[in-house]
Amino acid sequence: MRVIKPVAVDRTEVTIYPIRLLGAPPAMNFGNIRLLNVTHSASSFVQTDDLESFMRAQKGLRSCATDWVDISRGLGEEEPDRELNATRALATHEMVVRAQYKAWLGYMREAA
Amino acid sequence: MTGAASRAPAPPAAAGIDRAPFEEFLIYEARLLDERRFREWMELFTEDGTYWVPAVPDQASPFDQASLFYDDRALMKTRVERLEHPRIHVQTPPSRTAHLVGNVLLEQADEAKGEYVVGSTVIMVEYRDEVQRLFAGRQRHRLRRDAMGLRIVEKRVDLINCDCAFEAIAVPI
Repeated sequence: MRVIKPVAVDRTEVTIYPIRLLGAPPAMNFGNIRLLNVTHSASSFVQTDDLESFMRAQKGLRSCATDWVDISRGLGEEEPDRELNATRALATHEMVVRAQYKAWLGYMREAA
Repeated sequence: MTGAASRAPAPPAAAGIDRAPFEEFLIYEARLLDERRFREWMELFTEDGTYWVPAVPDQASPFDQASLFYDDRALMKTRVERLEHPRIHVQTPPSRTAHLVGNVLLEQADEAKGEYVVGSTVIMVEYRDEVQRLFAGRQRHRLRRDAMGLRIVEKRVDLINCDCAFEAIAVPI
């Protein structure tokens, strides 16, 4: 489990908690912890590169060169997923970001 | 006797054994890390060797809670391959480090088996991308002497700030 706590506009604290399954064999619980160590600890193989990406994005956002953040990657390339009744895009496309802002706008309108 | 004095390390059980080769070994290990010779660093570990940096003070076990590092040789190999990759984001630019190892004490010795426990203090200064950071703590090496010389069976580093929030720690301490 991860708790993401925004501390300041340029600082976010992420705390990770392994989940111990009651009654599960110790090897399985250790497997979870081992995975967590390599995916999300401060020295992990995954989170460290993610943090680096966030820091570079943060650096970029401090620039005043443009008023806009471009989230158009993959725009118009989404495909319908009939089986799931959803829309599908490549993982590297920014459909998820666009969907997130669309939902946020909807919530803000409802609240207004 | 005060509490602090009673907690100070007992006189080494390894009295009479020259500490210098162990100290030299730790200095050599630190040099490999500072020179980013990670593969050679990994080769210092026995096949069943482990590298552990706990995430809380006095952590009893790496098996029931998360650690900053807990690598066996298989994970170490992945870590080293990743560090050697030219496009690893978190090492572009790479870290430069300076390790200082001191206060070396041979805590246990079994000459018949060739097994030793060496305690020391480590300080690592890391510089990367215009930021300098300081890591410090106590470390304990369980060493085994084989045909190749001393090898690391267990290395545990207890950072004094192990339970604080960290930015990415990309290189071993």
